Amino acid sequence: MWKHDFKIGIRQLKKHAGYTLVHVLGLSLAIAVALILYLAAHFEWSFDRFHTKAPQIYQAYYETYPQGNPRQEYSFPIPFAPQADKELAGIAYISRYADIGGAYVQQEAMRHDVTMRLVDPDFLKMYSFTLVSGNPETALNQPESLLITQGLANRIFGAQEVLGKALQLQLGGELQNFVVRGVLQDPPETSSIQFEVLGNFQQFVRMEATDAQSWSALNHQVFVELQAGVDPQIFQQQARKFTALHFNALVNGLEKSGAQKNAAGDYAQLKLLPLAQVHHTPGAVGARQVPTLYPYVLMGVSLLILLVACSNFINLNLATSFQRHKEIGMRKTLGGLKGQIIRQFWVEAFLICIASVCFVVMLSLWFLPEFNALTGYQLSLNSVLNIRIFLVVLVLVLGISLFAGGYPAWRFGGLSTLDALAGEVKYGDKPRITQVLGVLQFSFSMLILMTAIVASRQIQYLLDKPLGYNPSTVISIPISGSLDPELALQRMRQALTAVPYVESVTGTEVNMGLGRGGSRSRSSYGFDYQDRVLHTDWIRVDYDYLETMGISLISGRDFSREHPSDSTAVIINEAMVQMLGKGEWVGKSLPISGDQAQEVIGVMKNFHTQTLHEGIAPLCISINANEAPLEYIFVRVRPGSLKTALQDISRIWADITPQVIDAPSYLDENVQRMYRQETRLSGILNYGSLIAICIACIGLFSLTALLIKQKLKEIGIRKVLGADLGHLLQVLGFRFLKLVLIAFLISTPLAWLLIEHWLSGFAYRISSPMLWIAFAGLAGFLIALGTVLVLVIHAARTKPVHVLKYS
Amino acid sequence: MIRLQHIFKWYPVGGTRSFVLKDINLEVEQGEFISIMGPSGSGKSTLLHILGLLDRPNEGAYYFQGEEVLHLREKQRAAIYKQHIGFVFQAYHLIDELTVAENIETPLIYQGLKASARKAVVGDMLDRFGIVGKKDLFPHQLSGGQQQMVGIARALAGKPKILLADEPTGNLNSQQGTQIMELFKDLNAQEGVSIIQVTHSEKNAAYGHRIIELLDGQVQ
Repeated sequence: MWKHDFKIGIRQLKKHAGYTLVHVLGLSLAIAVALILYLAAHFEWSFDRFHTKAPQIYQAYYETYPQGNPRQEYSFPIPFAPQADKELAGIAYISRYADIGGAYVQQEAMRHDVTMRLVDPDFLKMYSFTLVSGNPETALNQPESLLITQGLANRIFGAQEVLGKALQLQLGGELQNFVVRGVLQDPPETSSIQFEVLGNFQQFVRMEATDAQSWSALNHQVFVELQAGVDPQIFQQQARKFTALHFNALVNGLEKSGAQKNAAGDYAQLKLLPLAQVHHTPGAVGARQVPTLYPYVLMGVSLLILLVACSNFINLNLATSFQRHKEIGMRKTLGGLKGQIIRQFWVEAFLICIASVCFVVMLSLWFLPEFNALTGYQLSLNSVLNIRIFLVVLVLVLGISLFAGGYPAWRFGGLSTLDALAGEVKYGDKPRITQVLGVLQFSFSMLILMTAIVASRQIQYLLDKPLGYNPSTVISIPISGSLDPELALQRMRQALTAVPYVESVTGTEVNMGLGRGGSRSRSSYGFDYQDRVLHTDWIRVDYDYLETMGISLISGRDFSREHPSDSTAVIINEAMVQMLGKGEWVGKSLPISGDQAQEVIGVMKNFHTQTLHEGIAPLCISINANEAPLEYIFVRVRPGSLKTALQDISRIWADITPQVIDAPSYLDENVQRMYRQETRLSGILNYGSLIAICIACIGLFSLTALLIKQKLKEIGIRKVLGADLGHLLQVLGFRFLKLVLIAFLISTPLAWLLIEHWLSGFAYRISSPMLWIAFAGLAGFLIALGTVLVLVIHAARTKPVHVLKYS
Repeated sequence: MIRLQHIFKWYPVGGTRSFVLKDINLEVEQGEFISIMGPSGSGKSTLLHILGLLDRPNEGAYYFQGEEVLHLREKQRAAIYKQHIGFVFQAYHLIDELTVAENIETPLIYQGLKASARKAVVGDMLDRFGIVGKKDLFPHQLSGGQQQMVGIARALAGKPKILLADEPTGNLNSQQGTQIMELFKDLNAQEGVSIIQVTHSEKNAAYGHRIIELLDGQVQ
């Protein structure tokens, strides 16, 4: 019996090869895309979950309220962790964690740059990083102990045994001798904590000896594991006294700067961020945080595409199966039971599903590298090949095929044999389910299309928006290593005077956009002025900043070497003027920082220092070297010379500084990097909508084909009665487009809600999302119209004789 | 073997009943060959469909081998026509996707026969109807007469006690028609299969032992 079913199934599919191909292609394309999106979402969700004690591990941070809004500070002073371990109840383990920039291993005249972290020995007891060799109890106990990853061990030592090996490592400007006390597995991709070398935190204390006792030098991060059963809320409550006792300098500073208190009456509160949220929290450990919502969006698009495809598959199958009423009737006459007939149809649908799944694997293998390239993911199919996914796919296949194949058989099986033989099913009755499914899939597709179009418009808007400065021909050089930053800038200026295409050079404390290391910093001051507490951002710059950045002055003048007093002067932006109040501010003094007031020498136009999620805040720029060290050199070059300029300048820079840790980069690339997440999301949405629309159109096409087949007799009669093409189009076309209109009405409010929610996170947003939604709707409508018209025109052209003879 | 008592069949048309069959009483003995005749719309096909359990009357009783069958569940009814009834249609109603041999095999599958037993029966049927050479062809590759041969072979494969034929020669030319009628006659005479056929043709009707004339749903 099964053999019989399979045989007929295969024959039936062969007979309708075109339909079968569309079925298989549509379904497998959708499953492949849905699978990849699921992989991406799963990847984001699995961050840091591999640690067995993950629910008990937290990253510590301080929350302050400088402008009323909470601000998180993840850096801690060196004495904090040991003191907290002593005084705070509930801590099982606590470990400090310091990033070491520019560390490298010197081995047999070879230099290997390494990613190094310095941690306390308890680090190994908290986290589930697996030791391949070495004793986890003692491996990090000595200051000169090192743990290295397998990957690094292979890179440096090849296949040799590395345990107990001595190696030289550059740390804090000098080469030192260390001993390898253990080898760790490489941290998985899904770890926020990434390293190649772990060293003892005592090295950091030694490097920062001057700050070793200071409670105000914030320079590393701290992880806490609470004892089982300790409530982090209660822990945070109990830490209030600790904060008041040890962080009084910080609290006093906050109070003086006009910061506000939280509900509990504290200027600063010690808080714990669960490890699972670290990946979704900007500022916490890890380089590629994503918003919490992001994997849900991926999952949503994945599910929508899957829904569209499933409903389309079911629809196509219904369309063909409903044509087979005669066969069903005949089988009943021959003694076939309803169940047997349903099974036969199910087997057919099942065959298609299975073929699709096999195709999916091929498609995914083909798509995945493209997807990884597009989005910067490192997904692999290996993570899919587990039993859970297999079961999900199996259930999906069985369910879809049972419904798609079984439903028509069930409907006709329930009819009297005679009616089935004659195909006597009421038209209004039969296609209702297919119409509902058609509307559903078109609604989903339109929803994806609408959000995709608005999202890409918004991203484009952000990238096109004038920033108030011109990043296009500026090269940003991070100053690092042991060279004094002021000296570095001075030498660079000198070296670059000889380069003809360099227009100007300056230095600054903060980079624009996101640097290669993914870092961004911001400093601000609160000050009393005429009985008000005001806040302003502050950027330490150097001479020629305005010229290099292409920022225009509204009044006053730029910093000048001819005015020695400029070292304590500031230039303020328009937003600052607005905050202070209208009037002439050039020449006035403001008590912003330190004991001595700052003279305003100029007012500059507003420009964006942060992402466009935020508005422009009041800002002062100053060239006072005592305020903050320079960290970047900006070089503006003449347009047209950018390509060679980056290489030339990198070379000149390498001559000046003893070691280059972060390479120079284009400033506008840094700016675009700020919107990496958004660009990525928009890309995924674009592709998703393309696929969904394609599938929905296949569906609409088959739906229309089905309905038209049923209407052929009507078309014939109308033609005999003298209807022309125009009439027929009017009568038939409207029936189908009505469905598309309903879909439009369903999807528009949903899309609008989603888009409003997303756009509300931007201070600068496209003004008319509704217009774009309407545009997307119109596009969807036109695509549908085209699909329907092709079929209707074809049907309307058939000769009435043929149609009437067979019905 | 079959007893119909006071069978009524009607369709509601705008509040009133449009009768297709009115008070039909009919008895069919084992081994009988009956022809039902009458003009278009007289209810011949409906009567045949009711006899074959494909349709239900609105009123009346139907005894098949002494058992009242109208109140049976679908499964039990299916069991009856699986075991006892074979159908032949004017439009053949062969399954397009199946070969000649497979079409003949289908009722045997539903009867639950093993593959080897099915093969024997199918071979037997092909042989008897002289269509061995066509066993791997599909319906559309056959002429109308040949398709009807396959239809009859399929109807007989399950060894029914009664064969119901709805204008079996309606789509055939006269020579093919005669061939089919001769076949029916032999089946009836030699194997004792009861046959009830609906026909328009006086000539074909004459093959039966008994002719039932229907007019406006009533036996004349």
